[in-house]
Amino acid sequence: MDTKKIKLPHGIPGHNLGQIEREVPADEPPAWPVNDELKHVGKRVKRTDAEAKVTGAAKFTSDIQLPGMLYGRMLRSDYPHAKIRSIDMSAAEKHPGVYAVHIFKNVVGMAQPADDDAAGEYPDIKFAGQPIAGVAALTTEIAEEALDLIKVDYEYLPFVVDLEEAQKPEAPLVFTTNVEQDDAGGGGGGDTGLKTVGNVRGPSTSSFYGGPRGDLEKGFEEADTILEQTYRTQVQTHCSLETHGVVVDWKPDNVTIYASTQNTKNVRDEFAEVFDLPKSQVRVIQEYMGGGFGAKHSLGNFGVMAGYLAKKSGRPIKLMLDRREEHISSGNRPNSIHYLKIGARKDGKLTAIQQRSYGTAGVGLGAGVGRIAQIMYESPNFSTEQYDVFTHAGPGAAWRAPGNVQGCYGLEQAMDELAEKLNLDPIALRDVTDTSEIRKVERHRGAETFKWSRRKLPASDPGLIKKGLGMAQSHWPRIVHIDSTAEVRAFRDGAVEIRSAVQDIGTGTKTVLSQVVAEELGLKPEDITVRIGDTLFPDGPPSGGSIVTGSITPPARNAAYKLKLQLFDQVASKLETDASKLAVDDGQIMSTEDPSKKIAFKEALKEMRTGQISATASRSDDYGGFMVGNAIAYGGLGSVQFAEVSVDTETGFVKVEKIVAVHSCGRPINITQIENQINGGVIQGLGYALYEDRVMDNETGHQMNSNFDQYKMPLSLEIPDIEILIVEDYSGRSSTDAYGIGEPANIATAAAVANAVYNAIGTRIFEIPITPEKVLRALNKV
Amino acid sequence: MRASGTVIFLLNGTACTIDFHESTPYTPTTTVLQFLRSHPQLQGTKEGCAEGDCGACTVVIASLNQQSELVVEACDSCLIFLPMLHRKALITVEHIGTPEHLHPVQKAMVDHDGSQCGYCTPGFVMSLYALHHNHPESESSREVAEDALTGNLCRCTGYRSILDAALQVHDQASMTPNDQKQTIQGLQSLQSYPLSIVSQHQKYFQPHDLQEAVKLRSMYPEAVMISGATDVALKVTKNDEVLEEIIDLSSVKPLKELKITDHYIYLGAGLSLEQVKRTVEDLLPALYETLKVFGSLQIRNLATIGGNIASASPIGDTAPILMAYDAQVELVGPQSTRLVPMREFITGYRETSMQKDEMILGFNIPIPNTQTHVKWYKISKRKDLDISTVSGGFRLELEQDATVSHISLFYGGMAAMTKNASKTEASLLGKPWSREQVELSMDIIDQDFTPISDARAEAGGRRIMARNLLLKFWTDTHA
Repeated sequence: MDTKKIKLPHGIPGHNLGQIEREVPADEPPAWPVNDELKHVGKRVKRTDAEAKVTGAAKFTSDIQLPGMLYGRMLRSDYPHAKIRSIDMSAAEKHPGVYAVHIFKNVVGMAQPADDDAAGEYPDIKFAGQPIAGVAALTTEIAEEALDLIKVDYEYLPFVVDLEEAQKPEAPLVFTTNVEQDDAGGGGGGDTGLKTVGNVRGPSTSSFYGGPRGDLEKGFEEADTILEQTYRTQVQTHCSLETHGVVVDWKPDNVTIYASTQNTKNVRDEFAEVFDLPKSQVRVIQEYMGGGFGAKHSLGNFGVMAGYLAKKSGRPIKLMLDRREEHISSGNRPNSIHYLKIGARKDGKLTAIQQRSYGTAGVGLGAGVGRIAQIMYESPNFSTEQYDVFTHAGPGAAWRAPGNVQGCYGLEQAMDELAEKLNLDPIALRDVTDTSEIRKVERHRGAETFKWSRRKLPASDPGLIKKGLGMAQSHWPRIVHIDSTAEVRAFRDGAVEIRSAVQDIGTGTKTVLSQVVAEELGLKPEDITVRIGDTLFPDGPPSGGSIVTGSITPPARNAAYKLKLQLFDQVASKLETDASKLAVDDGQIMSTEDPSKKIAFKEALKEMRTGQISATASRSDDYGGFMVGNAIAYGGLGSVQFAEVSVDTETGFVKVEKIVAVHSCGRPINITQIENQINGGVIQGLGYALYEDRVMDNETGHQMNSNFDQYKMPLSLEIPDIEILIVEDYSGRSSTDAYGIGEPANIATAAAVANAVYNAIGTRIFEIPITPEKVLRALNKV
Repeated sequence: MRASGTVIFLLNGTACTIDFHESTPYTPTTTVLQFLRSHPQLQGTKEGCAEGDCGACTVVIASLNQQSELVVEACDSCLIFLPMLHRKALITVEHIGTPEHLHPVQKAMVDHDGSQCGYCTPGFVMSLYALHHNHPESESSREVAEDALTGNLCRCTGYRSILDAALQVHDQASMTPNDQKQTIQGLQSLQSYPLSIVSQHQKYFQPHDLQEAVKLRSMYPEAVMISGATDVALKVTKNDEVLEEIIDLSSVKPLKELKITDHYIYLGAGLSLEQVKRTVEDLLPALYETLKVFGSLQIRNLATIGGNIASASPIGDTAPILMAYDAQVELVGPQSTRLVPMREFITGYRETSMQKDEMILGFNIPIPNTQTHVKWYKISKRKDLDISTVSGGFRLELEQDATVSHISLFYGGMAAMTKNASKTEASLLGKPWSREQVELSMDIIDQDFTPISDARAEAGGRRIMARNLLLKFWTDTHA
């Protein structure tokens, strides 16, 4: 491969900005300077589809209506654990208005036995809400009437839904053999090949950062102080405003699926596999989707059911979950019991970290506590043991920094406790033990903005309403999805398009792509038509793991760059210059040597030899290679968040007054959208810290609050003053050097709030959500 | 006025009729949201929860009040039955602007990046539309904006951009004078008649006068009475119940009566909680505080004070405070009216002393003198739009020497019904209102209640909350 050497911006402006020389493929575009010198990238550009959203014109999956479309509904088990002896669909099938029925032979989205031994005719029921069968009818009401006519003969079995009960030797077993799950939530517990004993699977002891390090025993011997503590987090449900769902339109030679998904490519691939179709015959379209947060990567049982019903009825099927189904079956953030033992020397240097966790993703895998304890602090001795515990409850799913949010809640409180034990300021402790340059800058810029020096000793506020300050920080890897491709087209009529199957989960991917292409072509973002969320276009990355921006903006830029060179070739002779002497700026193509030699970009398009030109590019390897495999880039996305709370010691009510959130995402592309996403991440973290909690009924195995009435999330009245600092952090690893912000925005908030509550009342609450009840119990020592 | 089975309303400015006696896909308990979702061109209004907790389905309903003034309110369309639109104007997001010609509130949302995924956006836009109709001037403070938006759930943005949008447009009214004129004329042109819908499985009556309402109540003693239907609608949308007989009291004028004298406030049972809230701010501040964090604006615009009391929920927020104010309930039956002290009205879990042929006409609330302390407290996870875990409506009168001459401690969430802590009250009566005495009495609360554990809190937690509310009352009232 031909290569060339280019110099790229490197470091943090205002701190250590410089340049770095890297050897890159010869066809990579020249390095962009820092954002200050760019026109559209790094600016506050209006959201491309804002008008469609505010007028209700944006069509979501739930809005799709096709001629002849039927409505699908699924029968779900009311029982958390049962064998099905028989299912009688005959009455449902005969119900007027019913066009198709289907019984599941397999269910997806949960752990499966490692060796597919002789299964019964029907899948065993392992959680209340597990789908059994489905019907398609003229209306949702008729479909629901038909569901009532299905007769299922169950053999009821004992069940367990509680994380601690499930670990006891006498607990009813969820699985009787070793299990695996391909699409586990990614929380860190879902390694393959682990053994299951009782309901406990694991431990998972390694990650892409490696396995255990050093010698724990020696590490603790060297410590001056040892902290041992257990932290607990709850199950949180995603609560996307649009529920999961699809419309499947099965035509003889082509299936079109409108899906509320954050991963068009994966939905296509899963559908093709289930129905044994060539991938090229399956098209997935996601024009708009109403939130996902990690739970909408897969086709899901609803998608499989809609496929069967469409195939059988010969008509398009719409199948959307209702709010209750969404809570109980479509994913959640698993809970955790998180044990940490940390040894430190007087100066704050850590000597050892021992971590052990138990969590339940119900019938799924992925209930670990992430890798944050392994990577964020320097400790020569480290080990982790993360166990998945099975319960008869709906499967977990990925959610904004899976595992790491739980892990950060424990780790960052432990660091707060450790700082107090060592008589060090929490920031000073981290300055000693955290080697990340970006986080150091973030801590100190944040501390200044937040006025961290105001912080007093715990519980020193004299009033009944006590104020407290706390901070926490996080790490998220820079993950790159190499199979990310973008095509840029230009048309003789002046239109410029970018196309990719990548979808916009709502974070603003469409806008970001328009900025990158406009910057490269010297046009305005509004000149660029963004066509994404359709698998007819080249494959894009999933919208998860903060992967999208780092994966798709480099190929988008590179495709635009290639297209620009094609256009230069076509206009060079007209401008009586060499193509290599041409550049774009402000809608013009001009000679760098003689600015009078120029042509408007749109005029140049009119004179093209063909009606359109096109260029495609895929994600290049990172400049200088990856840290691990072809996905984990060097460096990380650091974030530091500060929280100020007031705690009413009589009602136990915690009010978050202020958050300062300091974040980095490489080269920021759209400041407004980044701020918007950080605000949203902080507020989700606040819901996690204070309100949200899936409550299971041990008697029935049902979720008691599978609604929005009792499952509480923050509303506009609760939001604190949030101040956001974005720190540019150039690493020179790709043609855009940009990364995502979704996960980092959400990780540290709950820990920062918990630390602030401790600072306010002087008693630590080791379990979230921090409800008035828990605060009062802590203060009243009941 | 001959009753008819045809509902007539303005749908985005155009008269629309639904004749329930003809073949129609709708029933009298079809919700406005279901109606809108069945129209391919009206898909902007979204379903998020179908229980009034997320606001994705927010629409604006305009109607004429008794003075023929235009009343413009944001409501959750998932909680409104179609016949409740009778003689009203329904305005949806499609009506107020297009991508090419944005309405000022839409423009503000675009300018401030008020959307991420955008699914909740149409609901927010309609809440903003009502906000800026009702607060066209600079009075649209952050507090007013927060209150107007707190019925809208957004899982992506964290709200800041939306609140910023709310504040951008404070000097622009939502409806142009011409829009308003046309809406008023349109509403006036709709024929006025009571509704009497008798379909295959359901009867739905919307009487206009009290006599007729009382007569229907006697004829159909098992009928569900609704006004805003915010509670009853959940039976349909969540529990799939078929309500066979419904009497909709929302058009009965005497139920909207509002009288203020030197010593009393009279609140008609049909006044919306938002109307009550606006009325009582200065006169009954503790009731105002109750309503400030009661549900969302969308709910308060629909829900009535009579409905909240009649449902007799053990965690209903208005019962403890009306008891603390020593309100009287005025009941009307076929023969006469009678007054029942609020403290005796609720007799058990969702049970009241109302007879099968009676309905609540209104509430007579004495305005306390300045020496009387009436306070309301609520403990819930979330400050607003959350059902109380424990609530308290308390009243205190002190002698010159700061001994307690009267104390009422009404608790919600501690028993199957709103109930006073009688032993605790007795322990305080005649005693000095001191921290020592209050702390002694706090131990007695356990004798008054045996609370339950549920998804909101455990019994032990409720006990602590009940004790602490008493302490808080002392903190707020001692000299």
